[in-house]
Amino acid sequence: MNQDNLLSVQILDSVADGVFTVDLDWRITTFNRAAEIITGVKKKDALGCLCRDIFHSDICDGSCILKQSIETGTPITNRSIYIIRPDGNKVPISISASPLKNKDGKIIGGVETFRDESEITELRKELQKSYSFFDLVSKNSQMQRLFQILPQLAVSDSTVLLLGESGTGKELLARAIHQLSRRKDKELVAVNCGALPDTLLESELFGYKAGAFTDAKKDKPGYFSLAEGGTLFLDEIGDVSPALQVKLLRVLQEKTYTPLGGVRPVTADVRIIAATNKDLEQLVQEEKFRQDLYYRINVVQLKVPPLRDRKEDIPLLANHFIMRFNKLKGQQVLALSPEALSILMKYDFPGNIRELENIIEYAFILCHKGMILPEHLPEKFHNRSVVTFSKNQGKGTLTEIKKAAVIEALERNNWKKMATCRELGISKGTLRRMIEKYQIKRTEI
Amino acid sequence: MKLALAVFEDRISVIFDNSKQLQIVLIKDNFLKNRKEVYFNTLCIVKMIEMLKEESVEIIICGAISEYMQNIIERNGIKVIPWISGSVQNVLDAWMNGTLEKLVMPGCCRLYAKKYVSSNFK
Repeated sequence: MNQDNLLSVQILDSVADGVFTVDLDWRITTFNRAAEIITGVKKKDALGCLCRDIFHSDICDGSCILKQSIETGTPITNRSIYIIRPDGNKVPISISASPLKNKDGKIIGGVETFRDESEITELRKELQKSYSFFDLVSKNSQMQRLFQILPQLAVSDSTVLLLGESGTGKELLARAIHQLSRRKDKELVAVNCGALPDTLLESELFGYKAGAFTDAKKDKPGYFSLAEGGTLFLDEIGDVSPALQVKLLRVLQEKTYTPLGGVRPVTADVRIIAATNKDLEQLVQEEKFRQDLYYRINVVQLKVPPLRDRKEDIPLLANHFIMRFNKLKGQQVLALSPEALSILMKYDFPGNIRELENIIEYAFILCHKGMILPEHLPEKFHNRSVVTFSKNQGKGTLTEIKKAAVIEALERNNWKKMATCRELGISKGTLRRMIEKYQIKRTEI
Repeated sequence: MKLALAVFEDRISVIFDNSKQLQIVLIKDNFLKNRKEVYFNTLCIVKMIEMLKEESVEIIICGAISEYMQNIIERNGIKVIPWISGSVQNVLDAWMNGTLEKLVMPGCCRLYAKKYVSSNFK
């Protein structure tokens, strides 16, 4: 070995990342010490062998990024994959690949660098756990406060009113309250009050006696009866008619109800959790919702913020749905690519978390493994100008619009300057100048 | 004896945990009697085991495999010969010639592979 080669080997062995190089026949030509440690294969065994026989990664069968890099002549960075070591351990790693060129610029092979992500993956899992509360996932401060008070609230048996837009997870919150309460061994019955016509809703809620109406051949228990000892979740309570509001009020006040066609009131031991996406106070003012019922159900009020006000949850929720769909559909999707995430972070999500779930489900149709790329997102995200970007867009002078765009981009990227520059397509210097010019400070959030 | 080879194109798949296709072969008196291809999903482990049992597979020959996956398969009475690489034809020839240990991936516990390949099944 000549002096230059000896130096190269020493330098490579001092690097903490695993590094190997291949020739154009995919045979390993260099294998550093970190590569030995991460793969569990000795250098003497690795040199001269096909890289797939040494590396044992999940992309070796048909999705090799080293091959892509050599074929396109461009480097590929930071892909998350896993390898299996000879001891049977599955090790998550992040890899980058680049073509190797000789002094004439001709490609003579490729280099792959990789890092053991086991610890980071474990930490990520721990972090995910700390942001999870039953089926709810959030790191938003408002949601975290909700998670904190939920256990005390659950044991209190008080009626709860959940306010929030459609798709924000009100039913999941109701289920968490039920699971934390002493009623958890009994049923939680969820009823969408807006989905049924008034007369049907009454018979569904309270049940009926045989002969109450034509075709009522025998007694039928209602949701109150099914939820006895448990919890009744009344979704879209704002859509209930005034006539039924009176009957609900009676159940809440007297803890009794009378089934349709019945003569004797039945006692109800049911906890009520009501939810609505409407402004109940406004409905009370408009005399569309009874004030006395409003005060009865508004014992404890919880507000679930819309997704556009807790965008920091988008990566967390997307990851949660990716893991769930992987299990359900038997796919191996790793994560959203930075580009796809950036597109979603700019979107306002009028359909909230349910819309994000649908977007991920759509992406699973086109993407079976690896990263979800922008082209895997629904059609409306392909033409980015169509997407609703922000609440302030298009108002004010050009200077104001520019300032608002910078502030919003900074917020979306958690005030990380490099990520903001990438999103806006400007240099770090330009961003710095704009921050100074428009006197943008973090307190302006 | 019924063998199942986890394959990708015309060679053994690098990782069993990630493979989608099995070639199930029936070998009698050291002759290949029957061969069929089956698609499967290693993420639906219960279904995969059911399929392997329905097909009466006795041995799986594959590339790298996680300890977890190997334990599940072996607990269901199916032997696993892991860390094998090469073309499907070479692997079948080596099986019939009793030289499968020559196709063990480099650096992958040759002693371990020998134990499985040589003594247990041939």
